[in-house]
Amino acid sequence: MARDERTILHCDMDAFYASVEQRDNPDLSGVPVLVGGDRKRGVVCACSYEARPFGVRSGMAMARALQLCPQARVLPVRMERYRQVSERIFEIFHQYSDLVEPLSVDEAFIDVTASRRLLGDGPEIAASIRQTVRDELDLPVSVGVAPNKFLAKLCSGEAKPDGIHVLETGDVEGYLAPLPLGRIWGLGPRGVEKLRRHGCRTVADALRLTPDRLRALFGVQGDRLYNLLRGQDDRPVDPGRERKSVGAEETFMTDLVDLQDLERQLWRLADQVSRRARRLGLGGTVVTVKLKGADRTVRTRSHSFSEVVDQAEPMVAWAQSQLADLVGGQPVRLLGVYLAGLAPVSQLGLFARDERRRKLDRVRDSIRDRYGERGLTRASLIGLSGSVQRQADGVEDGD
Amino acid sequence: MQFSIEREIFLKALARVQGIVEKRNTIPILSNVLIDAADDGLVITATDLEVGMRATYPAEIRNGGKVTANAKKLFEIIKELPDDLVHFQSKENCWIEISCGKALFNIVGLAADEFPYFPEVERCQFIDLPSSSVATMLEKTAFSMSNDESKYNLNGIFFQALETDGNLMLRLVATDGHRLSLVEQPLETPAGDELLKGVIFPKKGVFELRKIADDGEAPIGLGFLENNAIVRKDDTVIAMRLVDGEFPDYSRVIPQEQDIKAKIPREQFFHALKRMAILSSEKSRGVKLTLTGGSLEISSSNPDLGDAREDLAADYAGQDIAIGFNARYLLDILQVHKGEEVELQIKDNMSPGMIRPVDDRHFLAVVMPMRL
Repeated sequence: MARDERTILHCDMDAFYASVEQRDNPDLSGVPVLVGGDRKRGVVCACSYEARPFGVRSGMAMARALQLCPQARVLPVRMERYRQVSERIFEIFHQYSDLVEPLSVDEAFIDVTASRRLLGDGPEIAASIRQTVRDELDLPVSVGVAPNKFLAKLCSGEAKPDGIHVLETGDVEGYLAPLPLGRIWGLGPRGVEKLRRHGCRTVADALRLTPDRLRALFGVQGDRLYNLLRGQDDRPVDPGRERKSVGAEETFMTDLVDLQDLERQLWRLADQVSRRARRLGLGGTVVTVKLKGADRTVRTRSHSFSEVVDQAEPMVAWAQSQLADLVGGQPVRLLGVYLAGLAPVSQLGLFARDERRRKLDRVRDSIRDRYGERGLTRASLIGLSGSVQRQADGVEDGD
Repeated sequence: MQFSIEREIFLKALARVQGIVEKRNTIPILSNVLIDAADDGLVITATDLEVGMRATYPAEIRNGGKVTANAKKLFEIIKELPDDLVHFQSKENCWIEISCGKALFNIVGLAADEFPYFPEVERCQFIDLPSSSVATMLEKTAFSMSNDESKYNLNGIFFQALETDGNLMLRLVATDGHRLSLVEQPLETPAGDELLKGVIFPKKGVFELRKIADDGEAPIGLGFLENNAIVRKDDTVIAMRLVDGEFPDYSRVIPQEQDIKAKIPREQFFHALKRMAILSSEKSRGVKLTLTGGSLEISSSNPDLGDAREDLAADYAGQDIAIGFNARYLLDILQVHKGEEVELQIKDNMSPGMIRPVDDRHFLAVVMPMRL
């Protein structure tokens, strides 16, 4: 690859949720695994590669997937667990470059242009990332290597499962030409249909359309499409996709009515949220409580603090004062706590007691980092059960 | 029960209790006012169990008796009535008839015996304080109270009587854990045990006390009864449940020895801070203060917007130092000062800074810095 060219990686975990499940439970390896909702009404969020020969795809109705592959094991979504693993994956990505742009929990662009001198060329870095993820997390990741984001993303699709695909500049034209137009980023079914009416089915067909023609069809997006068709995409990898909020929510096995039960759930959620904020080195100024009733209506209420908060106590204190009113005697199906308006906690405290409390939080965080959620909990939360998610995660057995 | 009352008087009486009644509808009776047609006039009581107000108003009482009605609805009704004189009558099952001119309302109340207990203040011993000085002391401290409900012992103002330099003083202290303000004034009458030990007035009670202190010249009587602070002025009594918690040992955070001292013109300091705060981060509100010989530079920067700085002349001759503060904390202090000049005292940029008026030794404010 020429020196003045960029090297962009698109890393995409393979069947991420399903792979995590298979890794966490060796009984599942080599077995078709579907992660998703209810067997009757749910949707497949992820399916292992063993399920794919049967025609199962993510996004498919679970009932349909089970018709195609009745022997598949169905598991609930353990978002908390995936997020945990995801954080570790991104830590690995960051070892190779500062320019990491997350697209979701299991997918990111990495601009390794500046890392080439130190770490080798694109394919070498890609191989090293794959190896590290495999060694440390025992998970498969596919990597596309190309001169820009658009091509890198196409390549990672090509690389799946568990592979690398590299596209050199000289090969771009030949690679793109036969591709159906639906593969072009940002071109949905309607766009494809528009182009089909102009006699275009493949990228090669569309190359004859002038910029004016494309602009007439797609407005301002026409120019971008013109470039993409030629494999050109100068958008930078943007690590500054700034986090706007941290949050946690919980769906209960049975709807909760008792305020004390809800308050205990509130504590656990606020503990999680504050810990997540602290891990980012941030606090927040706006707390929101979200509540879904048995009738599925969602109510939220927010409060602005006069200072940046990164501890559970102030969030809970406010939320508790609102709870009775928010609940209004209705059974509660889901409870969520969010912290937004994120900013570093830079204000120092007057009293030694507050500093001691901060220290305590740091110690608690490090114990939990090391031993997981079971490592340390509030006495008032011992034996707290009833969460759909946590039951599935196996962290809920009353210790 | 039956009485007639001037609309204006009734309206004012109800307006005063709107801030006290419980807004959330958890215990219905707390949204109501108790209306008691007594021998010496109409006695109106409201409470949310933390703060209560009872006041007597002139009315023409025909038959004595008590009833309760929704404070907000009653206020809305009286506000819109067409005539000067309001007739009020309670009927069976707590129904209430209100008539005025040609307008007639029937509203349903709740029985008076369900209304919560209000302390019998006749047994209370009061010390008198001038309303104006109570108002000033509250103004100089109330802004430092905490809004964080988890720090309940900071959700109010600490009142304490103590001897300094041989004089008995009443001292008020408020803090939110990041800043603190303290004001004191000579106390003319000896204080009781509660004040000598120190008590925390709840935030909501402080607001009501401020309102009553600002309303007229009559002195304020202050007493204590059954864990309540009782405030009396003219025909009005406020009872507030004292915060059941320990106020932190504030004397430890008031700096004693600070080498860095600068005198700064208050007005200029205030306005420059206001300007610089515009470009500070919206969440942290941090500004940087840099002291160099003879001047104070205030600056702010915001990655999304830009930066700003301003110099002002200051009486300062020490070493150069830079320290970060929340601009809002400084503005709050400078706003309640009335003097020409303030003194800023600093030890270093990790220790509390102190601001006090040059010409008033009875007020001080402490502010913890921010990391720059």
